[in-house]
Amino acid sequence: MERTEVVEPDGRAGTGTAGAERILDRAGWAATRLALGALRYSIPASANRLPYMLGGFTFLGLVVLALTGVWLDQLYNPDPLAAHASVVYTVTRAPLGAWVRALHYWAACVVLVSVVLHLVHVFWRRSYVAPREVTWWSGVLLLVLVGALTFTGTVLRADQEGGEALAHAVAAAELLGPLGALLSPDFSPSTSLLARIHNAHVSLLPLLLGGTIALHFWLIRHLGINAPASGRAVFAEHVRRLLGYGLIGVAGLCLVAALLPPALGHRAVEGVEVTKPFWPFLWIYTLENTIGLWGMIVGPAVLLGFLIAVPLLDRGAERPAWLTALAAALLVALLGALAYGFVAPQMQHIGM
Amino acid sequence: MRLSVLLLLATGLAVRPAAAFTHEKGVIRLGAEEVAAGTELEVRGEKLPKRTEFTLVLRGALETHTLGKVTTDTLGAFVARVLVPAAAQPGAYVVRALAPDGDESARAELRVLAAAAAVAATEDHGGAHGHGEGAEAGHATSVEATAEPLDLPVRHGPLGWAVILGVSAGCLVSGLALLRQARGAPEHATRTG
Repeated sequence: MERTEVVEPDGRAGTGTAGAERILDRAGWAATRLALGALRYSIPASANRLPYMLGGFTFLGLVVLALTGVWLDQLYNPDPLAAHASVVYTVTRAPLGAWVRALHYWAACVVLVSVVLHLVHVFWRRSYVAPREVTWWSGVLLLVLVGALTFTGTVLRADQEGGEALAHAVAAAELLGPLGALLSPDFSPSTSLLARIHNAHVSLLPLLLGGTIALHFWLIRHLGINAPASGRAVFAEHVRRLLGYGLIGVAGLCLVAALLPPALGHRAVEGVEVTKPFWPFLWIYTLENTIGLWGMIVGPAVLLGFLIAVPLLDRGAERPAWLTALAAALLVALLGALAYGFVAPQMQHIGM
Repeated sequence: MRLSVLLLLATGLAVRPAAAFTHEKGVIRLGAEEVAAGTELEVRGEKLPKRTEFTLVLRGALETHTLGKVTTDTLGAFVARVLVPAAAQPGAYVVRALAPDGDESARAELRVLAAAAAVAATEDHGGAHGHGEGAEAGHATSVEATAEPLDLPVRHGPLGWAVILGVSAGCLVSGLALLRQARGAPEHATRTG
């Protein structure tokens, strides 16, 4: 692989007042000690375009989720009898609780959208071909982890929608037999399933996510960003633009969260299904309406299987036309099922 | 020798806080860990200040109910039967004994169940709960599931809005400054090798 060294001109000449120079000096002091110079490596200039920042936006969204999640977790009680009341407390009484919860919700929505767009863009760019197969697979794992975090987050609300999501998880675990043991209430009689799902949401899944992100970043750093070669730029500038757009986005999210708080349902009543799942899972809901409970296992399994197989199916100089057609068909089917989920009739799936 | 002294000191330090806690704080024992709203609960107090009046309160995340007043005997103990308010929402609560100055002298955890759930729990456990008769006395209520969201009063308040607008403005200004900096950045020459 080509190795590029960046040579920079002195950009500080004539920057203005002595105060500004002092700030720059201090920034330089911090940059030296934090080894920020390591970010000044060469990347393709086209990587500074917005589509190449989707992964970065996803990461920024995850940072917002982590920060707001820490605050929310101080107020959350994973006891099944107290969980819903603690969420109501967070929304109605805790200082900034409603806003932080709304920010958490909207940041999750942004992450879900940006991670899917990132996946589609990376597929389109064929950024999974050798030597980037593991980068792609680590991205697929990140998608799975984000999905798992979304699901567990939905359950933690302990409202009717959360209760039904939990019931579906238990039903799926029963269908999977030994493979679903972790999601079975009998796995650990000493604690509740809700407490274990809370544990997964705040510790196990974030740990796995952090490790996988580190691997993903490591591979991108060393294998490079797969962007058209149209001149060179410095990665630090990419980060600066990314943070610039990202912070403007966070400012917008802050206002949206203040004006549009997410709904919270009534305390869950077990044994009935009267709600639909959180919108990212509506495509699975459509499948359940069509083929029953197995839909929530078969649908994600097919999608995951396809994503894992992509680097193995495309090993030539160009992507096979049938693979592009298959991917497009899957995407259209997924979006169609998602859209239909919004208007689909409400159905009872468990015990049918 | 030195090791044994250190061990003794360590043991002493480990034991002291627990012992001190026991003497400074009283103890509340409840007749049941779970009780249905609207039923009676036995509360026993021990190791409390003698001949002192305490207020028993039921504190949850969203609501606090006063259960009544009790007075300790010459040994610093009391026994009382209190009514768990029927209006108490199901959930995890703490029964607290508050001294006349408002300080908490003792506490115990309690789960309040909906009356219908309590009846079911009693049936499931063959009435083995401490006060099964209390649970059975609860009125069976049917709770209907609904997809409708709760109508929660969400008010940010002036301080909340100040924080929200401050954070938003801070992010916006920082973001614009970074973009301005990025656009004004000098061109970078590169050399490959």
